[in-house]
Amino acid sequence: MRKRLWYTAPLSLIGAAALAAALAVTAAGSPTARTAGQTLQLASSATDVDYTDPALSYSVLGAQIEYETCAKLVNYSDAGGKFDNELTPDAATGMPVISKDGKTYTFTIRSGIKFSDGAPLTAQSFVAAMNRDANPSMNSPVSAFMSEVVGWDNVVNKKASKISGVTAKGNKLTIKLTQRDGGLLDKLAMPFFCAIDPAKTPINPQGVNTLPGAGPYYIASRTVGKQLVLKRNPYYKGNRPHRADTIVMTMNTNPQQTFLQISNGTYATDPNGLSNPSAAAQLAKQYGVNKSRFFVHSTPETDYVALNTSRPTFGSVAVRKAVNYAIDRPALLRVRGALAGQRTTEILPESLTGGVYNQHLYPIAGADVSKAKQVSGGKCGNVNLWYATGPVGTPQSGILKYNLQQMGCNVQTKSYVGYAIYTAAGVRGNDMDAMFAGWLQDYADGYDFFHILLDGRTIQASNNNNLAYFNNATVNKRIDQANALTGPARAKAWGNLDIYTMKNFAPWAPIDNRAIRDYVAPRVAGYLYMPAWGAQDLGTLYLK
Amino acid sequence: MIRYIIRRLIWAVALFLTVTLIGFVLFYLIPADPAKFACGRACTPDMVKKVAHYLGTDRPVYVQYGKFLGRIMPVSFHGGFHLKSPNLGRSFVNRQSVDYTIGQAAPETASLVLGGLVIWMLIALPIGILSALRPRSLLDRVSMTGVLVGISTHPVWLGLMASWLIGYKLHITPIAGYANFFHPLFAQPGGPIQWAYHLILPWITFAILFAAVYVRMIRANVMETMNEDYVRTARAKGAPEARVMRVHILRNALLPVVTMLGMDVGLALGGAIFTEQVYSINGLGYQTIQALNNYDSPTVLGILVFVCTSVIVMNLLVDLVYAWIDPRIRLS
Repeated sequence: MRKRLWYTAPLSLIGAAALAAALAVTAAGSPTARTAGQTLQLASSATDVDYTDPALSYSVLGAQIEYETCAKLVNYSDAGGKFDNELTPDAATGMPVISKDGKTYTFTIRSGIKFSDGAPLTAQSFVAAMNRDANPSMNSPVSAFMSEVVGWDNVVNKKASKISGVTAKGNKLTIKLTQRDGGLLDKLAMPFFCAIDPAKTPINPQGVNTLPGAGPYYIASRTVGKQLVLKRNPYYKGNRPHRADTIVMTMNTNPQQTFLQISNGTYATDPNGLSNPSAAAQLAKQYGVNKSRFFVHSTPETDYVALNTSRPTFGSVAVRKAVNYAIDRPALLRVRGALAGQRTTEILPESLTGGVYNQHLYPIAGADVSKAKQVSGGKCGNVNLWYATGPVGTPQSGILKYNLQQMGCNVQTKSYVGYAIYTAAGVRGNDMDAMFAGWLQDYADGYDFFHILLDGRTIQASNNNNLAYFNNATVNKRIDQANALTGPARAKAWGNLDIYTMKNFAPWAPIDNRAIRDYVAPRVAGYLYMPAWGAQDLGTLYLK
Repeated sequence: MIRYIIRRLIWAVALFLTVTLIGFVLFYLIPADPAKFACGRACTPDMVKKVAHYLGTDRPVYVQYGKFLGRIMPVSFHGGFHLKSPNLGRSFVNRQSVDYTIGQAAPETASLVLGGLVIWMLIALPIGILSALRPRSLLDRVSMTGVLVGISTHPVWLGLMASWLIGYKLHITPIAGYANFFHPLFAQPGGPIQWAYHLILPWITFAILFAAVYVRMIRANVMETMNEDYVRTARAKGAPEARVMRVHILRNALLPVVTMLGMDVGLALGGAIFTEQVYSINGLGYQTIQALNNYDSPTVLGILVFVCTSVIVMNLLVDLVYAWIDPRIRLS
């Protein structure tokens, strides 16, 4: 008996240790497990984040950072290591109670949430955030989206100091609107509506660089142009992943060198996507796509050719439709490199159409010149084609010029450097007939595309975004109708309007929905793509 | 000497005003609206107007230029004459102080340029002198071939190749990046050793073009000086060759090098753009490119002011040093 006992004890210990090790390995592989002490090094090639101040940040990189550091009323969940593209309550206990007329939203804020400095998050945190956003000293871009909130514009125009339509009582937050806005919840998921600790986030036109966060991380330090450091929020008790303890982002790195540094593991990844697009084909061949180290996903962005409907040539619907037959979408997309996107003939990215998506309104496999001539009746006039010079714009202008000439148009090109093209094209009455443009969603709703880019009632003397100068009463009315809806019906309405507009009026020649190509270092795991932001989740990444 | 300095300072001010005025006007002529860019494309025209007012771009260009000059002057007449700190304004893009941006970027550019200068002189001096002493020898022919390659090779290509081979493939140096000498960033290498280690490749890349030019110049100057009468006289009087070389040849042959160094430091600030881009060094050149791409005129003009001032000061110092070295030069 004793003989058996003496070796069973060590065996038991070994067994227990093995079991513990197995459990630990399993736990480490769990999407929500922490990898204690890990510092993740990232490189942001060729750019810095514009701002870390949630009132001012208006970039994809900013959205990625704010997603890790913010608590919002509603948000897209990445709990369990899976991204949910449907909005779910975040700091709120549930989705809001909406009044029958659709103009009052009431949220109940969860108790027990704390900022990274230990301060409690309350309904007042969101009131403070919105008042700060509207404060004229901040010059926040969010005011472009919030004029339906009662009293918002009064604050922006210095007629009031607080937004009268946003109030807090206890743990209840109420938002009142001047009219129904079925896209309000999508807007509230934007980084602008991050809860803030007003004592630590003062009004500052230059923006605050570090601030307490109520998300899984907080912004610990920022050296502008050089580095951003996120650290784990010690008070975060939620179920969102936060694998690394610290995330260090080095800014403004050289794109080609960043690619080499990711290859040799100096950096885990570039949050902006593959820094060296010309390597995409080789990476796909070497690692496969969406398997281990190279990932490709479609983003909520549309590249298109705007056809100026206020000018003689493209004032004709037939000629505009003919352009959609004549353009060579594969060739235009190939200019961006391998796996750069998905060809489209629609205005909206697929994620915003509620399933009403038809890629084949017009040819996507190549140009159909004979059909184009048939549709236009062989008629096309002079076309002033504008483009922004660069490795994409210049070759694309050559391709489109050829396509239009094949159709019978007389094409002159005019080049601009960078953003200047939008300034010039935004002046009503300019001599642009067609130009290349693109739009990435600000929030996940078709209104963000239709109202800003195709609503004729927004056309002004200058600073126009409706570059097609498209103004159709029926489409305008259908924009309002769709905007009054909520839920799946709303998304389907946008999808139907998309098809209707392109089939009947074709103010654009859509080219593609851009893809993001991500490349990670050898030891990196936990990659998760966020369709809502068109970028990867930084909180799920860890080193194996 | 005093009159000379005053005259040079007056010309320096005139040059400074001309350069900044041209820079200002060029930005004004670009058909881009910085307020629209800063505000974002979704902004309404009313919002863009507010941003334009905040940025100051809604005022006439001469008013903007006047305010710009008023900011950079160390004196103010508002509320009586008094001294004040000059400031270069705020970025249109990220609203950060341009002074801060330049304060962060200038040491990195200075590290690159000054270190590169030391290396190019360490290369150019011995090779140029030895080539001149042994013309048409194997050493001379090899060094002239090297000069040709050095002048012809673009720093961007050279930098990318060097970082790929030496950094990525052979793991001898870092591929890219900068390590701060005094204040390393969080979780980043820093201190003097890492600073130098990260700059080895950028220094060499930056130095090669200038080294090539200086080898040729030093070689030509030394060869020309060796044929001067006073050198022949010194040898005829029995002076040791080392003394002839040191006192009579090199001292005279290298005088033009002093002038060239002063001018080239100014040019080098421009040439540093390529090296900074390749090696991810966030110096003045890199910041200039970023600011130009974003139509960020305060940052571009701020860097222009800084570089212009630096070049003017460098050239003035060079002239004074030259006059001190060469007694034949009279500043009047």
